[in-house]
Amino acid sequence: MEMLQQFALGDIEAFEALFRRHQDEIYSWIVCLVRNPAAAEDLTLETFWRIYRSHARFDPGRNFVSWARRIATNLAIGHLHRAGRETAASEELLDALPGRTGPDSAEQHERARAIRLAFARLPAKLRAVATLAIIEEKPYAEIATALGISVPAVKSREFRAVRLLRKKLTEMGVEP
Amino acid sequence: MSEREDQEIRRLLRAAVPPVREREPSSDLWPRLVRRLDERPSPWIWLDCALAGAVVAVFIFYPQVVPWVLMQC
Repeated sequence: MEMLQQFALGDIEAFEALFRRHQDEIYSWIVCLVRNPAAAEDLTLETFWRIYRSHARFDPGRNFVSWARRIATNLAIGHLHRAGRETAASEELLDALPGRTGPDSAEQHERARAIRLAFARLPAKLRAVATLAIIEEKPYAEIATALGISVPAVKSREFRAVRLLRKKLTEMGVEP
Repeated sequence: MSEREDQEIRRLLRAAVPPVREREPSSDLWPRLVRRLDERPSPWIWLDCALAGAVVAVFIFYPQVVPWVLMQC
């Protein structure tokens, strides 16, 4: 609590202590969302840079991690939005989405690739929820806090993501 | 569409896009953050300068508004 108060006053040493305590956690959250280590490092830096800039507005009675994760999530969704637009033209993001490797058939490989492409083309907000809820299996309450929405809203976005993913796969001629 | 089909989509997605394994940055990010804190000027400084410039320009091109502005202070 004392460290948070010092940080709120702009103490750089308190900020460094908070950064060292939470950088791995925030990076981990971001890399789960954007699935690109280099981009996740840049976004982690941007998150903490914004945190430091906003120190005067921080209430030491609040949960620092929740606040940091909310900022990180907003930045990550912005990144997904920009990356999604680029992917629509280049499919570059497919390389950033690691797939399972193994003795799959060519058909399975193509289907997995189609799923990754369809997933990359989902709207950023739906993709973020689907990533956290379905792939990373994060608790709904944790996702809701990070996004600043209710748990039913998280479930609704997850539902819409699944339905849209299926629609896109069907359009691509892939039957699940 | 049934719940079973939704579950199948979830399963396929998890198979095609597995969870992230590497969950730590490649290096300590603090030195990079310090550099950024030192280098990056606050955009508010530019915004403040732009607003001040706009006000001065208004006063130069429309001097008749000066008394009105002074009356509002």
